[in-house]
Amino acid sequence: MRFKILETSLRWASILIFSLLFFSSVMASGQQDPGPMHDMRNMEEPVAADVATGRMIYRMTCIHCHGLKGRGDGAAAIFIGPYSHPRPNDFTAGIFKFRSTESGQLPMVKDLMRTIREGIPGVMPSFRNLGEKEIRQVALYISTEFIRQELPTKTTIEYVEHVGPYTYSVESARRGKELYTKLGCAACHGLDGRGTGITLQDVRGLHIMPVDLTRQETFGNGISHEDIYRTIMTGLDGTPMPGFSDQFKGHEENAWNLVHYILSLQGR
Amino acid sequence: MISLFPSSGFAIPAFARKYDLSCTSCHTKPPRLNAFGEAFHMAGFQIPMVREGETKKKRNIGRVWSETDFLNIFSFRANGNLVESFQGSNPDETNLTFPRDLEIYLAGTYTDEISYFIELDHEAGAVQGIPGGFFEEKSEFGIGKEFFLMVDLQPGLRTLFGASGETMTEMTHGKSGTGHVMFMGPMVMIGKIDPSTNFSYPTNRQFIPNVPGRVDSGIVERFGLTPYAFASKFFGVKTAEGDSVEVTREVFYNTPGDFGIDLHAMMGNLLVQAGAMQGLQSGSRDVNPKKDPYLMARLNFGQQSYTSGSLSGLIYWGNDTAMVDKNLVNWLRYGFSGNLKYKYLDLYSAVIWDVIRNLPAGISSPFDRTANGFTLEGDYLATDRLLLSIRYDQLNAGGFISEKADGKVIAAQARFYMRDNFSFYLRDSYNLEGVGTNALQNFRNFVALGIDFDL
Ligand code: HEC
Ligand code: HEC
Repeated sequence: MRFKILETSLRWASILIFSLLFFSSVMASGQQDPGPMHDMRNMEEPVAADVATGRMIYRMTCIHCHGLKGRGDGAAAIFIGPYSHPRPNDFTAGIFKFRSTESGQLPMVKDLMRTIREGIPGVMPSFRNLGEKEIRQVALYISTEFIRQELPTKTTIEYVEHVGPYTYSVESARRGKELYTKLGCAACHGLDGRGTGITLQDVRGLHIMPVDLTRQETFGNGISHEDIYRTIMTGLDGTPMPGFSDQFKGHEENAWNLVHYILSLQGR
Repeated sequence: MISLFPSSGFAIPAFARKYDLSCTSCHTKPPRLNAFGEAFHMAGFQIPMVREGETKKKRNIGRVWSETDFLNIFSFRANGNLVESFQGSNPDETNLTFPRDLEIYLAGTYTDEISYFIELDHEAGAVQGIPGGFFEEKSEFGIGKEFFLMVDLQPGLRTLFGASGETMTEMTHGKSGTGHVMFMGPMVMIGKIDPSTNFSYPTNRQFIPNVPGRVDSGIVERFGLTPYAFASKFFGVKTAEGDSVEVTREVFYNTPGDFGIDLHAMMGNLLVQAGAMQGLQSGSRDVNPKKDPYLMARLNFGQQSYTSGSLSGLIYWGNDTAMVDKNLVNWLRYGFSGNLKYKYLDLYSAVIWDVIRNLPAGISSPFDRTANGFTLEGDYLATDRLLLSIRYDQLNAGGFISEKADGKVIAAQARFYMRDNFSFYLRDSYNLEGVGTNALQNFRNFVALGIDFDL
């Protein structure tokens, strides 16, 4: 008999807690920042609607790594680089690795879109199949909600096309090798490009290793000729990898020589 | 004394290859899922919002081992360990089985809406109940702990209601959700499933592996070591077919894999799950025409300041699912679980009550119809190579009063990672209840040195 009472009360307790769980969450989801979502109906401006959709995508998938407030403190973030770089960056701090703009500047929308579309090997999946429209929407959400500054729409870096005199040649790669030592790349990446084993720190004080230039799969900023050109010009802000656009102003062929040297290190 | 035995749970390096991600994008360390891994599983083994369909090539052209599509769906796992069990200062248990558990997985997405998961495994020396109240150790090769199809019903529902339905037309491309609440699923899983993957304490995903029991001439000398919250808990209860059931065997919703059908959907931070299982260890045999339905709800919170967590509640109705003496009985299971992750710390706990209902008067001897179990595990990644775990298990057993005994065990483990997919561990389970003659208490210390390897 005593058991029966205990059992019945336990059962009712669990039903009660169950319903509480249910209702609280329904209420909570109803209340969730009604702001942009409600506005969406009345506002004609496509940008607001885009940002609202971007927010929804962000909350479904990016949030786990990048965090509710875009600070790079999602619950999964810390395990991506446990005790070391990389970790999702703090969007609100305005320091971005993957740009086509000068070192120290914010990225353009198309830079954010490239990162989202391509992903970052090893740490962030490619969102190509999200669709271009959605990729733009989530990029706009990041810029309006977290970066909160006007993003640049052009860059002062000269992107010389990989054609004609700028294409690969053995001679070009040889000149690239000279530049590699002259510009001090070897200090971090080692004479053979495989790294020096030195311990560096990123802007958050996390341990970071210079990339092994012979292994393209470790590149975060892309491995096409144009990607590597861009990396050398812009550098990766927030990491020790500097931008070299100043050295190449008016001599962009030198940057291509360096690219060719790196390609030759990878045997391609 | 070397034995290879199963540590349950899954890390699917095939997924990591397919998406060109490191294991730690989805796992705190395999097999524990982090918040993103949970979302990935929830979305039917896909990146949420991204319809991937069959394997698509990314820009990972540099990785030779990513080149072949087959490797993107294929994984392999092996575990082994050296065990010693102590009564006093001398080890009293030795066994050499190699390998004890070998697992092969095929997992991936077949179309945008259909994903599959197949596991083949070889398990040596698993304790199995047999009729007459006896047990045996068996080696088995076959379909493993889980194999199932997962189908996303949302596109179908959209086509069905899309034309007329108000709420459905509000969904943008059906991928994202209604005007206010984000919506994912419903997804249906059919086959040999582990529904508890969605529970705040997933049975299969812990760092302290289960230890099989020891059987001698049909009698269990020591029951297996498992999280007691999920155990069957009743001494002398049999399956509907009359086979004995190990008291520490994980059963029902909390089994590492049994036959059933499961539906789950997510609205905002709330996940709801409903399904039915075949019944207590009935496998694919259709011995229980009434089936055992269950309901689970889970609420997620966090997602900033390196914090996330969830609370879950479960109710499971076992219908004619078990036998006491010769009577089929109903079995009610209910309970809660919670999980809190903060930075390198991961805490998860469950408390589960079990009640045998409609027990007829006049069974052979006095019987306790209620039982409960409590389990709490904490893991801490102390360095990027060292994971420390501690687990407390308490079993307040039910069943025939003359046979039953309670259990209290504390386990501590240090796991050292050579790489993300290769680890060693040293573990000790200590019997807090005191050594007794009952098979639940028949050890003082259980020490294991093990290896875990995924490819
Ligand atoms: C599995 C975790 C994960 C998910 C999911 C994820 N990211 Fe990232 N993301 C990262 C990591 C890690 C970095 C930092 C990588 C680095 O520094 O090399 C990053 C960096 C970025 C950057 C900045 C790169 C820079 O220039 O510094 C952007 C923009 C970005 N992610 C957008 C997104 C968007 C949008 C989504 C969702 C559609 C998303 N991410 C989903 C892990 C993730
Ligand atoms: C002060 C040290 C330092 C110097 C000097 C330096 N690098 Fe780097 N470089 C780094 C670090 C650190 C990284 C890794 C960044 C990361 O992981 O995000 C890196 C990354 C790279 C990458 C890969 C980027 C990617 O996609 O992930 C390339 C290519 C590269 N460096 C080329 C060069 C070249 C060419 C030079 C000389 C012109 C150079 N680096 C000079 C530190 C340096």
